[in-house]
Amino acid sequence: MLDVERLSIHFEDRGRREEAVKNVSFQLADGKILGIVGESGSGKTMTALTIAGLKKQRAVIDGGSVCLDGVDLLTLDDAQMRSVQGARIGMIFQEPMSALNPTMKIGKQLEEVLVLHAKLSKEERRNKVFAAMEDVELENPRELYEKYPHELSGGMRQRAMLAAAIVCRPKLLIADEPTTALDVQTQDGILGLLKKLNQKYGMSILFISHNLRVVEKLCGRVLVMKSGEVVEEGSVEAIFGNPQTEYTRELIAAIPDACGKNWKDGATVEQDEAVAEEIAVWQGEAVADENAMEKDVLEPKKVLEVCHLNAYYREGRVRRQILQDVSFTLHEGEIVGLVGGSGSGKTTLCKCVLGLLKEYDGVVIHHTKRPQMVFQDPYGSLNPRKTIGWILEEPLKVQGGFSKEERRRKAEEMLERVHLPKEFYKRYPKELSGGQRQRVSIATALMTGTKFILADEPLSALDVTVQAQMIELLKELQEKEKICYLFVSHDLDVVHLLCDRVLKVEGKTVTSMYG
Amino acid sequence: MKYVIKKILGLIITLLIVSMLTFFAFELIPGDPARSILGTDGTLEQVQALREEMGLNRPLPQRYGEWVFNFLHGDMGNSYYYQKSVQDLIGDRIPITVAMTILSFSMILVLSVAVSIFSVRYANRLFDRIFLIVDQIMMSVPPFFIGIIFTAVFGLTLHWFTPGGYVSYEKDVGGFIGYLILPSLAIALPRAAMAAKLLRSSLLDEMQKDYVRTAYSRGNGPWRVLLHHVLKNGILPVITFLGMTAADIIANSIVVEQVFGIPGVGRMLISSISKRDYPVVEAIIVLIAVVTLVMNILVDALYKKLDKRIEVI
Repeated sequence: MLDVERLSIHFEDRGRREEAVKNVSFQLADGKILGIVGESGSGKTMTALTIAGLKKQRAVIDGGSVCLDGVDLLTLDDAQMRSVQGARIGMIFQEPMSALNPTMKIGKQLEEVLVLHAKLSKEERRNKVFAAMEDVELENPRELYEKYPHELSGGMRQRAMLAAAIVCRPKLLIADEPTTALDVQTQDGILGLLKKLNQKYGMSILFISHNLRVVEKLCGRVLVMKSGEVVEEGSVEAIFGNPQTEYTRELIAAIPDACGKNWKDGATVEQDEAVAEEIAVWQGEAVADENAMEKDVLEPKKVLEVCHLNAYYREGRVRRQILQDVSFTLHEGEIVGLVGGSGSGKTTLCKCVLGLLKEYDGVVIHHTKRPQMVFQDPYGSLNPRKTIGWILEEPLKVQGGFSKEERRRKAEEMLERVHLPKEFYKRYPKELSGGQRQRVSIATALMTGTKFILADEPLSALDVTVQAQMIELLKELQEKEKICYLFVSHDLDVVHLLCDRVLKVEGKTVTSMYG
Repeated sequence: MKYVIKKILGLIITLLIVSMLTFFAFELIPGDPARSILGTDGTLEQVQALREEMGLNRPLPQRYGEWVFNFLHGDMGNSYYYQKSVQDLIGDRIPITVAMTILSFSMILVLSVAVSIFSVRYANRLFDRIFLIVDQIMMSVPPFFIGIIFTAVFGLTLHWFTPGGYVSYEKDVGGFIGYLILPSLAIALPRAAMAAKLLRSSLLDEMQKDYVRTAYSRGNGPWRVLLHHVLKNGILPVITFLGMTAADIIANSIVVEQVFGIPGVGRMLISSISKRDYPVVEAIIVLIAVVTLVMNILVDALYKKLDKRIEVI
């Protein structure tokens, strides 16, 4: 049905030519699901956007064809292409937060596709929208119709996006990293839905992701891309069971395998089961580990003590309790995961630890300098107008008492500690890659001399291979310098791989697992 | 409901402060209403006697208190100069200035929205480039100067209107509005240019957002994306600026009314200040303050209407 033949695309950027997609060919048959995997910059999103007719103007198509049911989409003019978009090709994107228009009611946004492509009465349109909402398992369609995106959770927004994409029953659904920004449980819900829609309506799906585990669960065939080229193509079994190229092997090796086995066995889309299993595995291992831990740990120095913490959230006059009687201790050189669904109180707990929340009682004692934060978005969290050197020196300037030379020397030393070249001192954040920026964030946090870093999803914006390098760095700092991390994440794989134990926030309380 | 009460209370307090400052300001600047009524011929004794008669020798707080009391009872006092009540004096001038403000404001809104949408649709193309140059020029020319040019070109050369030939709205509503179009445009152009520039960059920002890509993926054309999706989001940051233009229009109308010979509130204000006719000045300033504050409240309300994410505080 979809037949992409020798597609080549390049970017023109001030005279510089950059090949984005080179000679890519593949087919997607009716009612099948094809996954495209690869790192960012591999050209997978570019390919998808081109098929959907959404490529940026800077991107120039050098050759090839994209045939949908025998019609080459690349030869259509704008108006003809618009009659295909939404009607025969539906698309969902990575960020459900920003992909919906913030000032338009959900119902209106779902209806828009019908306004554009179908001649229906208002009543008929509404009924179709309600039916689509039911298809994606959104409850109370009538109420949701009148709501605005900010009133919905991330998972609900992605479902609403999906409903808008399928309301015209397109033959092809292009899903560009649709689960990456969601937490694990919501992810599985969306994957289940895609599978259901695929079976129910025979809708073909082109699924783009860098998360191989997700691709393995959903897709029948997989296409591996690297720097604009197709490296390998085959059935899921062949790709995962018997990868032919070094690159595919690397990608598969980068999947944390502890849970990987578990997921492979389960291989169901039912989310609750998977999560329950995972937790069961941890608890099982926890028992085994307990004895080992007790022996070789000679009571390390405490970094943070939290005793009988009650935290509240004030909404006007109403005070809602978020956390109840929470107690735990963190020690030097420990990596502790903080997990829990969205809205469980993870953020509230972090704010208490950082001293940003006033509405709490109980005791929070720091045994080191103030904890420092490392954030999720390595692009937004560094000031784009300042050099790396300036950013690194800022904590020292705030502390005072360092000469210019001393500050510079310390900043350069710090760059070495996080394995960045000294020359970065003079560079600007935009010249660095995501992984390098995240290293700078960690370096900045360490500049204060603290032994305690609070990291909020520090890896989830990074590629799998870069993630692996970052995990190495975090572990190295932990071992060499006895840094303690409180690691907030919804990526259970990474938590499992990195953390010594896990604090799970659930139902106002915190349970410590694995130690 | 609580929100409304809070806003009205704020409005009253602001009005009190504004009127008090105006009252005290006249105490500080040189000049004396009694002297300006009697002229240079009046003897010192005559001036003193008139001041006594007008009640100007009583302490300032007492005079202010009396003024507020009368004002609240609907009595704005009498003009020193015209020997008429302030209500009568400015009553038939208010519609003129209000009509001009509304005309001017509509022009700003329509011009800036239309031009910036075209310029974003054809960003970096010829239209956009020309727009940016013309916009920069319009922005830097003050309204009174545009007014003078208009008078010279459309009045004296093309004879489209008679400069100074103001038509009263009581006689001919069509002619009245016709006469107000050029002065309103003179006030509107620089402000419209500023609003268009702000709107253009705000719309261009919005065009980069993810939801725009979503809209295209549904088969929207570029015009539909602009009008149905981007405009409402892009205009939000500019609303505050548009709200402030209301006060700016009135301020500019003071000068432009002079240029075109329109007997509006602005002209009255200038002549009353030079004649030290305090009751008139005081009333006009309070009126301008009311308009500004009401516009601010409307802007707030409009924000909430357009963007449901904003909470009522």
